[in-house]
Amino acid sequence: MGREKAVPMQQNIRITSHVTIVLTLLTALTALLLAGFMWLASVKVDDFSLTRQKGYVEQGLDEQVKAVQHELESVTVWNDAVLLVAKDDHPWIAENIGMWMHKYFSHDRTYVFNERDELVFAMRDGEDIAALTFLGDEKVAAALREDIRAMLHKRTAPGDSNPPVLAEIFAEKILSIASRPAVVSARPIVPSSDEISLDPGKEFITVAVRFLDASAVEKIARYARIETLHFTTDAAETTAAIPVIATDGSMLGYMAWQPIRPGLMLIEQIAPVGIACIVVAMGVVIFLGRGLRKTTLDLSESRLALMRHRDQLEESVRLRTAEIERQREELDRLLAQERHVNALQRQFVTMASHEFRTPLAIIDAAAQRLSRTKTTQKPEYVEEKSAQIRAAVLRMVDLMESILSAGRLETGKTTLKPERLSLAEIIESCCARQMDVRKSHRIHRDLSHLPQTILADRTTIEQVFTNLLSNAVKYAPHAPDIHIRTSTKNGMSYVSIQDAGIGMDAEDLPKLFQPYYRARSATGIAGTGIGLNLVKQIVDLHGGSISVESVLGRGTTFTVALPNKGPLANLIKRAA
Amino acid sequence: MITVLCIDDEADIRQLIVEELTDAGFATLEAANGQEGLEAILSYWPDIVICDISMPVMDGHQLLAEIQMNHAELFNIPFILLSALTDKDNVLTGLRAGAADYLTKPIDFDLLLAKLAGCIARLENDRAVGRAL
Repeated sequence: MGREKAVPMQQNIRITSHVTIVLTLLTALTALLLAGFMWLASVKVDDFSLTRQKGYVEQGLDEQVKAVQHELESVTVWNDAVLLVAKDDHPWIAENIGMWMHKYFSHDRTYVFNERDELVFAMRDGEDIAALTFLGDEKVAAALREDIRAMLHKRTAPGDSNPPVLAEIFAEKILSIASRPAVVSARPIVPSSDEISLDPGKEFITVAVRFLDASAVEKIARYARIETLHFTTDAAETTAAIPVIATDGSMLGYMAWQPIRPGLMLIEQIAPVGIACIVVAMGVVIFLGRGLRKTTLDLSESRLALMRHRDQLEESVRLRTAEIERQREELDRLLAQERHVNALQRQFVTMASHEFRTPLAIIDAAAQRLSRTKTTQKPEYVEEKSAQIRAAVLRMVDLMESILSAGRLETGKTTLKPERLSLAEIIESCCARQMDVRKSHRIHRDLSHLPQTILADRTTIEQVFTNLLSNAVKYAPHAPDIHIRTSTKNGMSYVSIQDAGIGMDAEDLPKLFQPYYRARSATGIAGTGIGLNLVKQIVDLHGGSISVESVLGRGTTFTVALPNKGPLANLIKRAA
Repeated sequence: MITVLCIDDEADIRQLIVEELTDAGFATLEAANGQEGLEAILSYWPDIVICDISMPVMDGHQLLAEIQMNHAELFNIPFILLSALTDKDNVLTGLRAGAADYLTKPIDFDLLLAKLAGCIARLENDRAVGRAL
């Protein structure tokens, strides 16, 4: 049962492990999906954010460029400017046009041309350039100045149905100056009101240069809130960049910046927490799995315990039943034995009575005969009857001895008195007595192989051979030859008594030495059933043994083995 | 002369009975067991049988049963069972099997002779009646 019971538990463990693995995998998969989703979301957010950033930067740039028109307007559409540039008030020009443009609008260079297109004022990075020189921007300045002149000319030229408004005349170019992107703008200095008038062709022209890679970048950066914004001509930095394109369409470079990636930032922010969460989740799953496993194991254990308990119960019930059955059988056996013993005892009483009555009958009949013939009898006749009477008495004495011995043995009152004796002598005397009583049989004996003396109890040993010899005679009524053979081996004396009588069935042999038992072949032959039992008990007491061989109809051989050194060891054992 | 067959395995008893019967004027036959007894009966047709019960080879009960079963012609011979078995079972078995009487050992010769006399009287009466018819 043990082995087959282990299987469900293993199965349970396997199922539990399976569940744990599946749960762990599911958790891992969920975590992976979640991470993937997060990553996708962050990429999307980043893309979106980048688009927004680009929009802001573009718009910032656009506004920076657009603002130039109005910045220039603030110093050119102005009555005071018209009056004071005409007077060539250099300090005023420097203060109110040059410095103004530089200080408030962050224009890098400011040039003022007079009505004759002569350069009258030049300021670079807030510094009045008295030398009135250009720095690589004279061409563009000239071009824009020409544009303004053309527009001014247009106002006065006849036939133009839609002349430009004076205050709105403006020219602008985005281009590269000394490899730097720049917005170059030009405006005529015109009156801001009708209070003063300016003759056409007398206009001064202001040209301003603003580089887009300096303060403009800072402004755009502030506007777009991108701190890392910078101008670059390196096309490699185009991940987060917008192109700066010149008015003629050529590429000037890029407004580039370190892209702000809120998605990535978010992931960076929450990644440790996420990982921690996943780890905790895995831990929880594993913990739960182990718990499940433990619970399953416990369940299996308890189920096994239950099964064991059930089996034990079944077993104990089975054992108890078997025990009861055994006890019943034992009782039956004892009862049968008791009945058998009772029957045997009844039979014994009957047979004992018979056995006593037979010699009594001889004595009585002989006595009657003596009495009836007292007048005619001869001395030989009296002698014969006396002999018959004495033989019968002897038989009765033997019988009585047997019964008394059996009684003593049964109650344990027999004590052996071992002495040095000659087994041969005892057997010889038993034979003599037997042949005296039963003249019909001859006892052939070879007693030469016995030791000189053995240690044994004379009375009981005599009973042994008397019984065996009388049996041999009694159960071989038609076979007058009885053989006694002897031998000595291993400190034991063996005496076998063989008759060629009626023999016994093999089934009778095992019970032969039981008290009152008589072989079935003995039916009709008087006997008490105590003789062989007595023999066996005596031999056992001497520490010897008795065996029997018999064939029905062919005869029986009893072999007695007696220890030469007597029953001492045996007695000691009994005493203990 | 009346012939009596004495069947007993005890030679002494047989001898004593035969002596007594001889003295009483009977002719006697001896057998040591039932088997020998049956052979003697078949050979000599005794007038009366005195039979022990406990005997080797074939006991008294078996002999009676054998005669009843297989030798009906011998059933007229009076059987006196003479046994050391005194229990009622044996007595009843013997009488039911057709024994004329059941005597127990020790033997009272007077009683035995009286029984024999009774048997003889009956026998002679039967024979006389048989002749008369």
